[in-house]
Amino acid sequence: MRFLKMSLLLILSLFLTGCWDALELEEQAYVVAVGMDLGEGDNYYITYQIGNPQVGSSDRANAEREPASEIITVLAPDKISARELANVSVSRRVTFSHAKTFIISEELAKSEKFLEVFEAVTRDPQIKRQMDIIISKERAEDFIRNNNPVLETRPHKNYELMDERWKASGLVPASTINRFLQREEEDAGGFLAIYATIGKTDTKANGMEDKYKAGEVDKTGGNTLQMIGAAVIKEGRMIGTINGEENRLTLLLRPHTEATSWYATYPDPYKKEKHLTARILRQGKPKIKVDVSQSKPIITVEAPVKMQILLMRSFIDYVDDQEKQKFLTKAIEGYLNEASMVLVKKAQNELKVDIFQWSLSARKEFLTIPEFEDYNWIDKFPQADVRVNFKVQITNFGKQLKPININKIKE
Amino acid sequence: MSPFFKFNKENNKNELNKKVLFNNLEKNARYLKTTFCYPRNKGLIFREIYVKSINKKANIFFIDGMANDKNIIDHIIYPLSEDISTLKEEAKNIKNIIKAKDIKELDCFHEIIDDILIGNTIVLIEGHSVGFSVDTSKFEHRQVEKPIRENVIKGPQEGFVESSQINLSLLRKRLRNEKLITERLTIGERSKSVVEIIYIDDLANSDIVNEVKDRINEIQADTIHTIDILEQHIEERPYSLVPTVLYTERPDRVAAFLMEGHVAVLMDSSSDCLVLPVTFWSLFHTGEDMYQRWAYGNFIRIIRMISLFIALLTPSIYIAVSTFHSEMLPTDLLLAITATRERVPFPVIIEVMIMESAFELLREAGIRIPTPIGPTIGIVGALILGQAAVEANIVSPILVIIVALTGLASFAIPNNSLNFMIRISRFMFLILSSMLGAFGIMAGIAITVSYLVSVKSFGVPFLAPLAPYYPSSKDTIFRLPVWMQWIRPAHVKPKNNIRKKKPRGRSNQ
Repeated sequence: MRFLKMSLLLILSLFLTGCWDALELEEQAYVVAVGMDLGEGDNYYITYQIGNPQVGSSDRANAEREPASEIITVLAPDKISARELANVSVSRRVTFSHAKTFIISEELAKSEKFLEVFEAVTRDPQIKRQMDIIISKERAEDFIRNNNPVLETRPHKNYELMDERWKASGLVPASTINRFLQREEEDAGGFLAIYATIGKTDTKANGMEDKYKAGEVDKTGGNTLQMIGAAVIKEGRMIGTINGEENRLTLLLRPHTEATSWYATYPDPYKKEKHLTARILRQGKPKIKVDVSQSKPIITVEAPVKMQILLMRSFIDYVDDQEKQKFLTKAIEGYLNEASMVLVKKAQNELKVDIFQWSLSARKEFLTIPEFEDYNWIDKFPQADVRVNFKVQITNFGKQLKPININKIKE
Repeated sequence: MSPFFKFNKENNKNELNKKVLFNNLEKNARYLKTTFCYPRNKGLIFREIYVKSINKKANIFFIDGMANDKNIIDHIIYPLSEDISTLKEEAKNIKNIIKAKDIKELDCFHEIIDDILIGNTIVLIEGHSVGFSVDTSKFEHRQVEKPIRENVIKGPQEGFVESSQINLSLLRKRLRNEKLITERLTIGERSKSVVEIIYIDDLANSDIVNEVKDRINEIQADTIHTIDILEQHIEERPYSLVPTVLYTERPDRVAAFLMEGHVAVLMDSSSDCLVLPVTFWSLFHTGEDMYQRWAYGNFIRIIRMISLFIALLTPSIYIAVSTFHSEMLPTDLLLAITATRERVPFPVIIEVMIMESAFELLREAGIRIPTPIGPTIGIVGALILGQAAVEANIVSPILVIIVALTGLASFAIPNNSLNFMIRISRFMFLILSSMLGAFGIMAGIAITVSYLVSVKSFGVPFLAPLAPYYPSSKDTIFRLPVWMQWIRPAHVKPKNNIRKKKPRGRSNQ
């Protein structure tokens, strides 16, 4: 009997302890994207894009005219307190656990308040560190309101897919909150964040396929979103931008990257005005050697790359001719080396920050972290002597070996 | 305090009638008749005959329906009434005259009564103070049929039936071993039943055999009709959810267990066999795991292991994830669930409870329903009920998937007792997860595992040979190829551990 009473008490206590943070799914509003703009005084304009669960689900018939998401902007001191303030109109509890994207306007990114934004991010348990950071050229609110993807009905899917897609193409860097905090806390190099805009600004006529920044691509139709290039952030502030090609080169020169293959064009060495299109495959990690014995660091980078040549507008038969292939390899290597040296110079002179994460390789040369910190990589980098050497290996020439006999057709 | 209801103990007296037979046929016959309430009781057949050869009167007693009439006429009545004066004088005793496979001389009334009750025919001869008990018993039972609960695709298709004689022959046909022992025990005070304990003498551990015999002898019961009741008398923890005796209807499985040193218990008029001691693995395995080739056998074991966990945990994981850890769901799924749950009036736990109870109801109804309308209940229950519940916004569609999956998985658990154990514990996990989320599930798993480790079946740990470790043929979650299984499981403590020589690869292969 006593045993029964005791176990009953124990079971009752179980009922008392539990349930305190249980929340039914339909009682929550899922924020998909968060936008932040500079506001008046100490406040920010905070924009929440809340996904509408009924849109795109089997329950669509019951909510035919509802939009796919509800976008609200409030003026609040920070992202966390804005959550409750949003409840003035949203009836469900605002939840960040499924937020995918964090959009910050360029204006805010360039101000000194930028780091303060991340203070809140690191403390709130709901915010995932896998959230992507996007720096938008215009106000984040406008960016969210005007981003209207056609293919994906639900906004979160759009953010999820574009994140994957652009990461693979190498046109934008992989920039999550986690990486941002790592880079900033290391205090040795810069961080590259995705750079995007809505609509065209000043289109460039000949940017090849990747020499664009967001807003420069001449594109009509579809969603007006353009996401290419990267914003460079140094010591908690945005200091400049790089274009798509530069971002790709950076990825090739970094010790670790997720992007491994993409399509790019190169000038044909025999007919300068024509170009070749190649699929470029990163082959293993680049060998990065940093010599820190002198006052100026000496950095030698050897980046192995595989290529599949998929298009030759010059109709030159490279396949049958080993000599021509060697010449082509040399030419592409030269092109890549030259382009990267231009980028390195830009990083050293203009941006004055290591965007290649070479500090990671340099750090290995020191016995202790304080020694490395004393070396002050962030100041030493602009003076560094950098040598970049690409090793290109052409693996194949696509499906058809011989080029089309252009003369025969023309006759 | 006087009891509200007065127990009538008068007839319950244990009359251990040690009375010896009289030297008088009339007296003996009268005694037996009064015991069986003859002639009011038409069940007892009494016949007087005259034995010509020895010039004496004889009485025959047997019970109608328990004895084989033809045998009685051919082997008892006919030989007794025949004139055998040609026979030599010394051969003229009753035992030689009666032609039966087994004949005993009994001199106590209680023995005679017991023998009449098991279908023997008693012959009392004038001037003899012993009765002759002739084995003529014959009971009606069905023919050997396919097992109903433990089906296999590959392997023998014979099941036990309600006759221990046939059951024993099914077993002996598989184990032709001179050390295969059948011991008989009688249980029940008012209605006697015969229990057979079967083991292989030079394999089964004598402590376990004695323990089984002790437990059966200790049973104090008026009557034990079937082996299912016997199981509950001898099992380890009567209040526990965990079964400690294996209950099987397949003679081939029992034979395999006997060869590992287990003990089997058969009972008259029961179409099943108990095997003990058992471990979790004995309940989890099926005969087919071994009959199918190595890869296939392991494949079905993996499937069953997964389905065991699905049956146990899916609804509780769904509750934990949807009320506590919504960040674990992929966003698409989350939004889909949220959308359909918008108009559901109950919290998830109530929703799950409704559906789980409905499913259990369906299952119980499916068993109790008369066979001709059985298929209807499946259609009504599964299709119409589920569909209508979703359309009426009582449950969300994903829940129907979860409950259906759980139900399906629970059908894949082979053993009836294990099945109940999983199905009932599922509700415990449901409550835990609805209060504490994933933490509750983890705590539940920790408690369950530590409890299972503490359970023993006739001295054998329930999770052996995995935890605690014992040398065995590693026939647990997976199994080795049959030729690699060369040792007997040590946790059953067999007298001989080695099944065969350790296999060695042949050089030319």
